Amino acid sequence: MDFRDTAADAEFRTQARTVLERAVANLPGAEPATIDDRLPYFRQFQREINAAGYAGLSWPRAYGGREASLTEQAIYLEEYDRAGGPDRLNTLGEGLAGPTIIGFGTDGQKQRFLAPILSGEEIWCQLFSEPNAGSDLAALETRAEPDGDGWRITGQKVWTSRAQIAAYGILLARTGAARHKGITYFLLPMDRPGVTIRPLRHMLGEAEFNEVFLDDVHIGDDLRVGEVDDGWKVAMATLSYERVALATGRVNIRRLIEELITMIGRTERDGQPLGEDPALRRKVADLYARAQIQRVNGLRALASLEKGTPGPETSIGKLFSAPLVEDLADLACSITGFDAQLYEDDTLDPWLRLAYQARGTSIAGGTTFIQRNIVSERVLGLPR
Amino acid sequence: MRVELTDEQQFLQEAVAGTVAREASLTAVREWAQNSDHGQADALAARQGWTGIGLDEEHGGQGGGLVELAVVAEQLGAAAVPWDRTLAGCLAGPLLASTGTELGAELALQTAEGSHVSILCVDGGRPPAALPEAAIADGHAGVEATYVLGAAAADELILPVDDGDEIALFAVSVTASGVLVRPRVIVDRTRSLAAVSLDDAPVRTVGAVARAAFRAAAARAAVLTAADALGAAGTLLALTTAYVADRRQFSVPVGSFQAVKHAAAEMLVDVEASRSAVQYAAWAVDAQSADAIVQASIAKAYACAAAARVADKALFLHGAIGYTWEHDLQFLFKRAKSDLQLFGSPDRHLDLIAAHLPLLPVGERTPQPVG
Repeated sequence: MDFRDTAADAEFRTQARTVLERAVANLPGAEPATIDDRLPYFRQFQREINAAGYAGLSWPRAYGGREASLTEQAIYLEEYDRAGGPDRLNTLGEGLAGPTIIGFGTDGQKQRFLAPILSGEEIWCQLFSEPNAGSDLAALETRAEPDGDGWRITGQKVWTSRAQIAAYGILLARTGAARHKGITYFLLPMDRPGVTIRPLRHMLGEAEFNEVFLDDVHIGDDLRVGEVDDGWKVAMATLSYERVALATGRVNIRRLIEELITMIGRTERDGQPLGEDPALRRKVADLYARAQIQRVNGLRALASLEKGTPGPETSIGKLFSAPLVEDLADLACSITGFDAQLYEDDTLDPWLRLAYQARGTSIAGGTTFIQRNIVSERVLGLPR
Repeated sequence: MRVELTDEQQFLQEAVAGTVAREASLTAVREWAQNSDHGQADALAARQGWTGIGLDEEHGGQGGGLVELAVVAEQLGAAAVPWDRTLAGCLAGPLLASTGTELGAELALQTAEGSHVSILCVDGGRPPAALPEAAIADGHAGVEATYVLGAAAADELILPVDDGDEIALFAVSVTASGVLVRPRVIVDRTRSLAAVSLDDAPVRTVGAVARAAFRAAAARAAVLTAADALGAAGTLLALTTAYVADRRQFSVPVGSFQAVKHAAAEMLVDVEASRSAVQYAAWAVDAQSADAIVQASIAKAYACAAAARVADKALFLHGAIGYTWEHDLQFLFKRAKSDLQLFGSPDRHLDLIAAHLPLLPVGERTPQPVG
């Protein structure tokens, strides 16, 4: 057992750090607030990363990727966070759509779509969830009807992040009656007639995701991925590509705990340093411990995935990390009290935003409760 | 990075599990516990060479480090095997050897062989870096220590005394005059704790060790207790999943109820997160990583608290049968609850972790918890 980087991984880490630090230094000022303004900011960063050979880390070299191991991918994400890289606006393109097209797409699709993902030119979104198909994705009702040499698609998708800046979406639509065996996988141009994007404001009032209405949208058969009625298999593959992100957690928890500790070190209450409060010290120590454990959970999960025999440690990532982020943000908010709840001049306290986002994370991609069902059935073998 | 156990470590794990299944099953443990007789378990540990793991071969040990010892600890905790004398000896051995003295080497060797066992005379209810208040004068010692782990079956008590830059170690034979070792019975009868009273007892000077070496011994104590708790938690989870899949009410297995599933899933998260904490801390101590001491407290605080949570859920999911004397759950339940206190409660270890975090303005002195 050795938790240190191997010589090769250490070399990879050093190189990635250099590239990332340079790309961050070249960015024009602070990251803009709105998603529209963040897009050119992100594209500049992505172009530089791509030129240095760090885009499409997991992709085969033949398609412009780096064929990085899972460990290298995790190291890259750690270094990305450490360098303070910008909001990764095309995770769905680079992490999900790209690998799916590589695995299941036609030669034409590979030629058309892969390069603009790597360069950041085309942003992707995911058109899976529907109002009546959340945790139960196979209940989706959006229909694709054959129409000459193509398809006509009608239905409604929801919780679609970044639809407003996306060029394409990966789409699941019903082509047959069978629950799983009646779903087909498509690539949908977001600028086609009949596609309506309506911002969906979350409980803080911000439009973080969208509803997407599809009204008789026509696309060619060349935008179908995999066989007709065989889209469930492709979708499951798409979701499996999320495994590194899921195993290692998507929030930079170690940076958060450091910021929390710094904030406490600078705060006084009733004229006394807040950091002297014994109860608070224990709470922070508990969060610090869990943050350390969270990282090791991720490393163990990656090792297990890399061996090809995922063990129970790969299933607990979200169940462990989601409450940790909530507790971290809540403790920070409890220290600053109403100051954290101020919502003046369209400005929100970052800890408060995190506290709300953490609730969203606990719901997204299968709520914590559903995750517990899945873990107890698939890992512990409890009866359905 | 190599996050998994090596082949040798896996082989050790399987070997210990096999021995425990054959010679120290819960049936055997029940008998030993009811008679408060740990002699057979102590003899088994010596026969198997577990007493020498973590002590290098040149000192007569089996080699290996804390990672290997933690592997053993988890397997013994998994069957609630009494092994406190062995555990206490494994903590004392490397410390004795590191004095570099002849007596230190001799005591370490005898402890590793299991022939004449030395244990650390520290209060088992606190982090072991907190030294007992001892008075040493003219080759004699006076001290009162409570809940000393493994003392009841030990041959030699090793008294650590603060000596400025170093920790001085003195050996006291349990048969010497002025030595009173009074075994204490707690509800977890797989535990061996004793009150030790030295009243003008003759001591032999063993030598001295660096403070860092003593802190490392304290870290080893924390990690091994955490590993023991992890083992108990793993078995509690396995017993529970088997039971709820089998037990039927309302014509269905109770394991099909979501309330049961959610509790079981939380148990798994606790077990796996504890495993992360224990493995990382064991490695960090062996690798002399800069934050090894903090990682040991993280493992102790998290894994022991988690095992106690798992024990409560296991009991609840078994229903009344789990609350009976006849059911084996009691041994693991009580073991988890006594591991919680052994070498310091989670709160005491959280205090130790907090002391390493810059929670006060620059220039303010961080309050240093004892231990």
